[in-house]
Amino acid sequence: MNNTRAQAEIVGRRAELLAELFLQDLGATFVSRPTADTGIDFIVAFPNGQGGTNLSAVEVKATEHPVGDFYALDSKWYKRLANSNVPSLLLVVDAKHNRLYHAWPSEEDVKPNSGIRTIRIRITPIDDEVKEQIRERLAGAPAGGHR
Amino acid sequence: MFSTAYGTGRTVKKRAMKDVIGKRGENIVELCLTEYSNYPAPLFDLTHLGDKWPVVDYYVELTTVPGKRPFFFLQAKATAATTPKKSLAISTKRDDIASLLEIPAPTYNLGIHEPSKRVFIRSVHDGVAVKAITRIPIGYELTANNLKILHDEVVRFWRQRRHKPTNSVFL
Repeated sequence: MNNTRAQAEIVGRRAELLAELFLQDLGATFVSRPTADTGIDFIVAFPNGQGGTNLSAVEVKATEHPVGDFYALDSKWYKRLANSNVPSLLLVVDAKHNRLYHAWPSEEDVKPNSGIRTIRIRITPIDDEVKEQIRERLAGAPAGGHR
Repeated sequence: MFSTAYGTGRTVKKRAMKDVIGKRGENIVELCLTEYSNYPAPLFDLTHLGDKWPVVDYYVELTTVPGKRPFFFLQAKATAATTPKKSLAISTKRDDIASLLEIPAPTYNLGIHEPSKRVFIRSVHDGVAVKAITRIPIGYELTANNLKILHDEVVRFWRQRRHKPTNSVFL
C-alpha cells in the first residue's frame, strides 16, 4: 500500500464494521459507540421479551489471520470486560477473511493478583447456530447484572 | 432544492434528506470497497463526505499505486426492495447524473441492496445519457473480481492525464 491511511487502521475499521453489522443482524435495538475511549467498542441493546431492554458491552479485536482455538488478550482489557456490571462480549474479527469469533469474558478466568500480562481465552467461531446462541444470551441476560 | 452560492449565479444543489443512505448503507459500502480476501491489502480507502456535500457521497482513493493517489467519486443509493434478479432498481434523478458528469474525475452510482448487503456499480462517464439511472445490472455487482476491474479502470483513466499542474501563480 502507498502512503494512504495505514493498513492497520483500515483493518481495524473493517473489523468494527463487520462487528456492527453482525450485531444489527442479530436484531439489536441499537448499536452505539461510546464517545470517550472507555475500552469498550459498542454498547448494544436487545429487547428481552419482557417489555424491557438488556444492555451489553462489546469489545472488538481485529486480525488478518485465521484464529485458532485461543486468543491472547491483554489482561487489563480482559479484567475490564470481565468485571463490568453489564454482560460483556468479545468479538475477534478476521477482517481479511470476514470471519468472526467470540468469547464471554468472565471474572472466573482471571486469577487475582496473578500479575500476568496476557490472558489466553478460548474463542468460538461464529456460525448460524452460535449466532442464535449469542442472540439469546444478549437478549436474555438478567437486567442490571451479569453472569 | 437549489440555492445560490458566492453571489456569482452558480447554483448549488442540496441533497434532499431522503437521499441519505443511512448508517447501515454507509457501513455496507465501506466494507464492500475495502474487501480484500483475494488481495494482500485493500485496493481502496474511502471516506464519506457527509450528507451536506452535494452530489457525491464518497471520495475513494486507490491504495496500490506507488507515489500517487488516483481517486474517484461515488454517489450511493440504498434499497430494501426484493432481491434483485436481473438488475437492482435504484432511484437516481436526471439532475444527479448531470451533476456527476460535471466532475472531472471518474464517477459512479452505487446501488446498495441492504437486506443482502450486496453493492452494485454503474459508471457515469462522458457519453452516458443525461437521464435518471434506474437499474444496475446484476453483472455489475462489486464482487472481488469487479473490485479489481474497477481499480484498473480508474488507474487507466489517471494514467492518461497529467498528475499535477506544472505551474502556479502561488509558487
